[in-house]
Amino acid sequence: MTAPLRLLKSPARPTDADLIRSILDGEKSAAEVLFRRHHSMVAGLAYRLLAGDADVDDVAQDAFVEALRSLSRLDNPQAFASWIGSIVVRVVGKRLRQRRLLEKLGLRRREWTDVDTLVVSPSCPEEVAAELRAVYRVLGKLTIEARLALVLRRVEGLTIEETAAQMQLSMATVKRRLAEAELRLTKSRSLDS
Amino acid sequence: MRTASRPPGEFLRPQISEERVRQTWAKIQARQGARRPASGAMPVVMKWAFVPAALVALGVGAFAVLRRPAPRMAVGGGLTIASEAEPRSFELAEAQIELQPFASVTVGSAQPFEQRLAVTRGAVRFHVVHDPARRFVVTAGGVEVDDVGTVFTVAREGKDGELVRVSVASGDVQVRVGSQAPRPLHEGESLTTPEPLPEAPSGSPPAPERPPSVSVGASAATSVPSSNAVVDASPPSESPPPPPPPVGAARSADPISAKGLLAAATAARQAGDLSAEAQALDTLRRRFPRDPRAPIAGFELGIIRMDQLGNRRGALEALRAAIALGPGASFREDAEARIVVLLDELDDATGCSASRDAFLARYPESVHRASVQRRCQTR
Repeated sequence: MTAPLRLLKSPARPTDADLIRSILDGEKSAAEVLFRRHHSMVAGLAYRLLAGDADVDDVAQDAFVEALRSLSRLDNPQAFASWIGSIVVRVVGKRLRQRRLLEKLGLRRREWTDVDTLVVSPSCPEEVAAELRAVYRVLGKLTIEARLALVLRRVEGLTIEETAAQMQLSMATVKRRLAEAELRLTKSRSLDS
Repeated sequence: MRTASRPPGEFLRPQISEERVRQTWAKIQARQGARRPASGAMPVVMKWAFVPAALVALGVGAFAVLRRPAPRMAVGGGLTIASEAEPRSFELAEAQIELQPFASVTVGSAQPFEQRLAVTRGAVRFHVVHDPARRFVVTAGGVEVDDVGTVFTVAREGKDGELVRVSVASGDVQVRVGSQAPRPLHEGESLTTPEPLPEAPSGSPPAPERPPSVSVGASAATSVPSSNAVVDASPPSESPPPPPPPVGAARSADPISAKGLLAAATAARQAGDLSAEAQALDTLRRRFPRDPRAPIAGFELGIIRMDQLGNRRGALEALRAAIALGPGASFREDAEARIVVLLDELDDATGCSASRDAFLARYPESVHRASVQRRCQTR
């Protein structure tokens, strides 16, 4: 008869805010719980922003390391998911810039996205898959900011406000970047058709 | 335009095994440093021991695939590329060069009107796209082979490489032995010099000292026998298959240009030869400090020395020099963080503190902040 009482007193699933408080209080295991809770989201976001599996684990590492280091500065612990998402966007942006620089200098071979292999879910409707393919075909031709904005908007399904928040840019800038990306997307589609 | 119920990204997920999750967490833990005492602020301090690995994986990401085992490359006056148990190949602007096992070739200083190479050991096969405006000359001891658009092999044979054998698989070459007049050598023919020859100095074309005697005969040039046979009279029907298509490298690339050195560094990296890669990068940044590739070459050199070669002082020098050359902001930040770590590991307390404080002031939001902050403590 004690089990239900314990459950009532101590919820099985602590909130992110609970976990962050525990981490700040020195409870080491709470960090792993937080990590495991959000790893799938972080890795998925990195995968979609990077357009592939390469570097996903490195980005996840960097993002969690930075997040855990800066937890005390997080004003709203319950917004951890959104916050670490913005860290992922920043880390990916930095990585993409480094990739491009290395490619320009000939230190890295340019990688082309195989859009067909990216759509892994068999339940993906054909029109969604077509939209994803169209987006990923143009990513390599966009500036980094336009690329990130397009993925956040078109793939993650964020609003412009949310995209701006994730990218830590003004809404006006995000709109400009999106316009640039959408123009390229339209051109690509017209060429395809 | 938020997608009605499920954003498209929901259908686009990496397949990440539990093992990968565990490994990622293990690496994060490894990067976590000790907690700060009592105050509660900043309780988790990160260690960035794996950031170098991540950077190496990235750019050097570039650098990634190990295809062939352990060749050796050294930079002296020129660039010496050697193979060991496995054959290896590399490309110059106008040629693809294949080293048989245990062969060595020195790429001499490039001139606008000619490119010279010296075969110093073993057998080396050349697929050359002939450029009438730029000679392609291969030397081996006192033998000089001037390409006329062809595929040919130059081999050092005999116990001490005292024999030089030139075999033409396709096209023609002009062969000059010592001070003798050049003579043509045509497809299917080979030439072997039976007398000892002077060794070519590294990086420069060899000056013939004694002209060897020569024998000429029809030959198959696909492989080079290890015997000391003077004349190889294999029938022409055993000629090798047609040469591969012309090398794709830009003809404008000068092998001793920054681009050529970068290509050599890449070839070394792909072959898993970090020392050779470091040497090529070192040469690049020193010889071409104004080239836009120089800062990044210095940065990569610093990483290799620090992470792979265990050469801390060399890494420090390379990173400082790279910063002086003005790399991109993201590289500069990483380079400065590494400098703090290196100074700490080299027990340079004064330099470490100064670099650390400068770093923290310049990059208050850096991902390296916590690890840099922990450095330069009294031991």
